[in-house]
Amino acid sequence: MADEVSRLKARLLEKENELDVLKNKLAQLEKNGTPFIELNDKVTTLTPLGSKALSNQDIVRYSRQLLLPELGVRGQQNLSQSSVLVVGCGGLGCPLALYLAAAGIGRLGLLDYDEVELSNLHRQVLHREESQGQAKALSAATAVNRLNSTIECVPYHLQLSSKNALPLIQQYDIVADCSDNVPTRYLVNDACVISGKPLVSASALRMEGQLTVYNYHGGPCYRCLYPVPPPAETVTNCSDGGVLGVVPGIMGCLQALEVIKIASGQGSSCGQQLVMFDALDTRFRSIRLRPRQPGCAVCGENPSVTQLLDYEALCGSAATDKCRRLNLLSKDQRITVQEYKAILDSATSHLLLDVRPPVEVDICQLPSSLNIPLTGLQRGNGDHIQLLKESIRRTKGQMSGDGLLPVYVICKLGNDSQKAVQLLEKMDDITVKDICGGLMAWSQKIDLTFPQY
Amino acid sequence: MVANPHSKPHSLCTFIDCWYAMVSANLEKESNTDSSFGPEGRYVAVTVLYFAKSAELTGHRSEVALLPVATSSGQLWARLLELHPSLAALQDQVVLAVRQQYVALGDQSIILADGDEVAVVPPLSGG
Ligand SMILES: [Zn+2]
Repeated sequence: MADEVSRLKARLLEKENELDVLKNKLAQLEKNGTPFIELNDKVTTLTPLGSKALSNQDIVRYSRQLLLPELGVRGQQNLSQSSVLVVGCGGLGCPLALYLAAAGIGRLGLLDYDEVELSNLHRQVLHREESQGQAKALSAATAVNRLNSTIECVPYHLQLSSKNALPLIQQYDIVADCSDNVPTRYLVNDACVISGKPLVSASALRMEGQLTVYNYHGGPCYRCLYPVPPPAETVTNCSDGGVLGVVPGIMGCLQALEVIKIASGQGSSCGQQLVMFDALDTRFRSIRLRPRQPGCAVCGENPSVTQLLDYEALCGSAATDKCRRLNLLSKDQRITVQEYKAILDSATSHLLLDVRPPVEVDICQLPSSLNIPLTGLQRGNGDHIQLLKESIRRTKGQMSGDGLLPVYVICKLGNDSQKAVQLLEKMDDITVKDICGGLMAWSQKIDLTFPQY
Repeated sequence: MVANPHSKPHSLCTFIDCWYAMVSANLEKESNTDSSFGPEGRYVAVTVLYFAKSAELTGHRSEVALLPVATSSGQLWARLLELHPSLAALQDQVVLAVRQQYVALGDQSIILADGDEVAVVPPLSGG
């Protein structure tokens, strides 16, 4: 009797919650004409996905793939009972989420800590101009919902961390790593190994992409392949290396293919394979990988990693793809953009050395700067060194008196300029300093018409 | 179903195979005489492909390198480091593949042949 009462009370509460959700949805729809999607700022407990037969609507919607013997009704039902967590709603996550929703995946978790910016739109094709400033997870969920309102979308506006990763990942069947930074890749890998989930992982930069399914059917995990994280200064991200939008688009589509094969029960063949896409030659290559490594720190026989760590400390970098700020020089080796503006205004003789690659100089530059890319200085390129010496000699010739010529080094953000100062500080006849924050600081603080890129 | 353009009638196929075997045997003889000899025995011309960061560090996407026929994965990497000292930045962060097969850096023995493909593949992390 008491059992029955508490059971009914619980059901009633459940129904009341459902009513509230429906009321909210209706209010949102009446107010904005767009369906209400609740954005989660923390991990919530999800109800298990039930099994249900395909409706007539489902049969029509999925008919072209139901006809495939490789999928069929069984595969479609498997899809509708599967949940996938997409970590990162950027260049990879957008096409991935779109195809998973279109194919009828049961539940789609969409996680991103970031907001939509104009510079995202060339590759993050779910977002729209009007969504600038909106949480990417919400923007992606809204777009996905427009394509297929019958699947369940759970947007998370949060940074994946050692605290929330396990409770989140444990609630999903498959995880797709669409992140844009190294610490998150190690975190997602370890969380997937600890909770026993297959990890469909892709990455893209410039004109190249990679794809592997980790922790799947005896195959390796990310750490089996890359036991030691790369030193932070050797990692190039999309915001400083660039990427052609369609390249992550292609890789995200490949990820969707592997997720759909796993979720439908067909299985992936990328569990022990590294697929590389070379967009310059439009060529795919596959490298056959070793199986899971018994000595691996997380998936091995005696793992040293049995709970999640501080991955930003492990990798020596922040879990974002925003540019890092290096601090290589002492304070007296640097000047601010305001100080440089004063030097320009007072017409003091000096040389402005822009060490960005030519492709960036083509986008924008300050007048009268000398462009010698940092790589030229690092490799000791003869022509570049000659050009620099020549320019120093000429500018020094215009100086009154015979003091040292001030050389100011500038780049995009003030990282490469510091490396250049370190290379040049031993040079004769000059004093050399870098301009803090580079051209982007110039654009923010001195000349608002100077382009940001 | 589209017919496989490589499938040929059986008899013709056998003929072509024989002819191909003959030609490649001759080629091998020629390359034997062309290949250089060094302290580690015979050298062969191998195509080295550099991906991601390694292409940036070496300034090449691919190059032909003379490498010893019999070597180990560790020596192979050491040889690439001699060619491009800048690759040292990727030490321990790279997948090395010979004929599209992963090799662990160490004493795993490797037999190379003319025209083999070696790939240097650092991870990409962007998305
Ligand atoms: Zn492992």
